Amino acid sequence: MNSISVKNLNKEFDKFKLDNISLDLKQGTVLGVIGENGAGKSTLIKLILGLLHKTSGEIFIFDKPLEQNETEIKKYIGYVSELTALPSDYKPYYIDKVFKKIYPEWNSDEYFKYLDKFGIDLKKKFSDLSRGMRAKLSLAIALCHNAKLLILDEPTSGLDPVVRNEVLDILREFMLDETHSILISSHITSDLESIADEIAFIHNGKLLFHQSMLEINENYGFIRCTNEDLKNIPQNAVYATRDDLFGTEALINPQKISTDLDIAPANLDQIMLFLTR
Amino acid sequence: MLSALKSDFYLMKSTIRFFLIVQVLMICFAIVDSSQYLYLFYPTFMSLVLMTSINGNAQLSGFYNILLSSPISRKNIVIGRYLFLLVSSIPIILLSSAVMFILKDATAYEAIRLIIICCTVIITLQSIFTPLTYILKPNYISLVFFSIWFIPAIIVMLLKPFIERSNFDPTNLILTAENIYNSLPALSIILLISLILLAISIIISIAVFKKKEF
Repeated sequence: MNSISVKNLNKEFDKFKLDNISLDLKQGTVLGVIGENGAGKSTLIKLILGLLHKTSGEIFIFDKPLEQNETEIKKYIGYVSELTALPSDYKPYYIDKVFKKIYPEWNSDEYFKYLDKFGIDLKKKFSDLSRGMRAKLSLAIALCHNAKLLILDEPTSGLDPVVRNEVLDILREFMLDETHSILISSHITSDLESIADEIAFIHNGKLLFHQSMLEINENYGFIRCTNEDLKNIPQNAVYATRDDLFGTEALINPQKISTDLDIAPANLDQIMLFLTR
Repeated sequence: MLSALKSDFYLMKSTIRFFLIVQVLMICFAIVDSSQYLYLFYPTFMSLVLMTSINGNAQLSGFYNILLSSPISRKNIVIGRYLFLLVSSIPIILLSSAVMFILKDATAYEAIRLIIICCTVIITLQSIFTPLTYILKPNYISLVFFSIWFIPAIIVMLLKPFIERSNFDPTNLILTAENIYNSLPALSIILLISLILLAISIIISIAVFKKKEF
């Protein structure tokens, strides 16, 4: 079963186009979406949530078409965004009063347990909460209504490493249930490397690749060498190169070459850097 | 729908609290001044302020993103908004009229007449301007709000010289207005028309909000 299935999705703006995106998020997996600013990650997420209207294409959530089943589907989606904000006067205990009427499976006890665990003051105004606390509050909201799918748009952006790690731990705990899935976009690729099973890379509104972490580790390698060494590598094994004062760096496909050169596994940052240049 | 109303209530809770405190002060002034106008002007004004600020508040804070990612339909969000606006202003009108009646600043007939007039004004203004709050960007909504108050005054000022030159006699117009003002059935019919306008306004707002992107 797919938690999300997107087919030939297009969204046109005046100066930007999300172009023919197709991808699946299987139940029980974490899909990380990477790409530079303005690549289309948030647009994709907003389309999946129905915050934006698609130009064409199909979106299925839990194998049901989104448009016809939006309200039913959203009972089981938890959404956290970097920009998720409550009105400045909103207090955490208002959330419980409002959302227990909205979500049929809202669990007040669990919500208050999370707030207690996160050290969030129930009566503190949203505007008085730190960025880390706001992120945790958003997560608590997303986790307290029996969500099967979490959609997270830059959830760890702007957080210090300690809070980021706590957030990732919560997500790992969420994934202990095999029926759960996460779609997460992040600039902090190290976070994705530690939690994602698959990565979708969006560049200029187009999907460059959608591969498992295992495939990425097999298909992408990083070498630092001289220009002479590079000439000995088959051209079809080189994705991109970059020259600097000390030689050449290259993103290569290690499976297509046999060389004595020291090939390091490429991390997501390196892949992003090379493929977007 | 009721959950949307509730979320709007919490969204505007501190504003409502402030308005209620001011309303109590206005009632005190009204008692001292024996002014029916002071009793009821403020709730009408307040409903307009709530209407113009609530949508901007929800949009600028990003709260719509949370609300729209939850299992609540856009239609119910809009209907909840209208309900909130009515529920937060009309009870205050009723309360103020009751105080007016109890303190003998108005007879039962006068109180009922003022309730109908105020409700008609609130419903009509909300019907006209709430769809605009969905159509316009939050920054422009305040502009519209000020236009409500100033544009009619400017038009009257501009027309005044022409009216004076044309020897227009407003007596008949004033008499007709007075007749309507003194007739409960006529006022009730106008209230009914404003309710029809409200229904049309809700349909327009739902259509606009369904197309809106966040």
